[in-house]
Amino acid sequence: MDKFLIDNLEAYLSGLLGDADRKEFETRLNRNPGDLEAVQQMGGISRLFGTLDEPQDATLGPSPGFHRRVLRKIEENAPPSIWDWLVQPVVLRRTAFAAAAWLVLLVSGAISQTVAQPTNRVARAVLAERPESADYCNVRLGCDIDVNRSSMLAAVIVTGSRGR
Amino acid sequence: MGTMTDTAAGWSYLPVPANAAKRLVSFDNVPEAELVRYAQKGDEQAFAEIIQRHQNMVFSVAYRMVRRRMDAEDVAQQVFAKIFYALKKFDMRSSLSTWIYKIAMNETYDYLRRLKSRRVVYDGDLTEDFDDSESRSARVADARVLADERSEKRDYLMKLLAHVTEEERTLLFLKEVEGLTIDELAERTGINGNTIKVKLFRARKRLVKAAAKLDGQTESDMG
Repeated sequence: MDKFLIDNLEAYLSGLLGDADRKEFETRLNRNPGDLEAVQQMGGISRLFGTLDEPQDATLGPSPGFHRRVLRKIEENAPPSIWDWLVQPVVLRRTAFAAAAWLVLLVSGAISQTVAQPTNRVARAVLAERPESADYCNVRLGCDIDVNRSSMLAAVIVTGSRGR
Repeated sequence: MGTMTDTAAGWSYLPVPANAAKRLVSFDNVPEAELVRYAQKGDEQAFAEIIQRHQNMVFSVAYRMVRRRMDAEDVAQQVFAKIFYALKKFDMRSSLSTWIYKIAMNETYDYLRRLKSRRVVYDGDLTEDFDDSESRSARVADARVLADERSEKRDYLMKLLAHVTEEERTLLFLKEVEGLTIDELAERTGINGNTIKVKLFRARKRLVKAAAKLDGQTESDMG
């Protein structure tokens, strides 16, 4: 659609275009069937807005006490304070659940630390057994899984200390 | 009697005699920009004046669209509650009434969307008094057919309007329903007239496209 049509479209749809401009507008429209159809459809949709006419009693405005009801609505819509948010049952439940989860984690951490200690002792024993002159520590693998793990740990410790 | 003070803190109240109840000053003649500034600072009287000045406009916008008095009042209350919390963000780029109009439009539109397929008998379409008992039922039937047609057209329009942006919807309403000219729109929105023309043109194009889509859907549903 050309600039002339776009510029004058609103006035044309409102019926406010002067005779000369209206003729020019329609001549241009007739040159392009696509534009003509689009403007006709726009006119049809524009008329639909007429169904939104003001109801007869709309001019009376809202009923008395409107201001008071607005204030009540404002209170209802008030954003909750942090304290209100904190004491919500959902938040309390979630906080309690999170605290319990932390507790379980801490306890299980402490237990695993205690269980891990004997293995460390075995590792220290493997380190003690190695010859002083050895530049590295062989990893000895056998049937005992604990001894295997300790042997590997000792190898890592020795290699690490050599690295330093 | 005391006079109104001109400080921000003392503006809304007259100096109060020790034995008298606090008296509120009317904001009747206070310019809009100043009124907004006081309301933004939390002055309840200034906000009350904003409600007073715009309640009919907000109610009218809602009533035109929802067509039920009670619902329109609910929407209008909700609009002012929103305005109360959003007022601090209002930067005076457009006029206060245009800003409020936009909020009213969107709130009403959301309300209608929530109602969705709820079929209602519209108060606004059936308000005539039928005092002639002989022709009463015939006239009621005619009025109902007419009301149903209008209601269908309105529903169709609402569906089409779902396809344009909030800004375009507001511009279309101000132009088509409130009957503002392009110059008036430019003045109220603070947008250049030519830009408004282009925005309206785009909005109308979108409506035509949406109508084609909607009509196509309806035909395929029927077929």
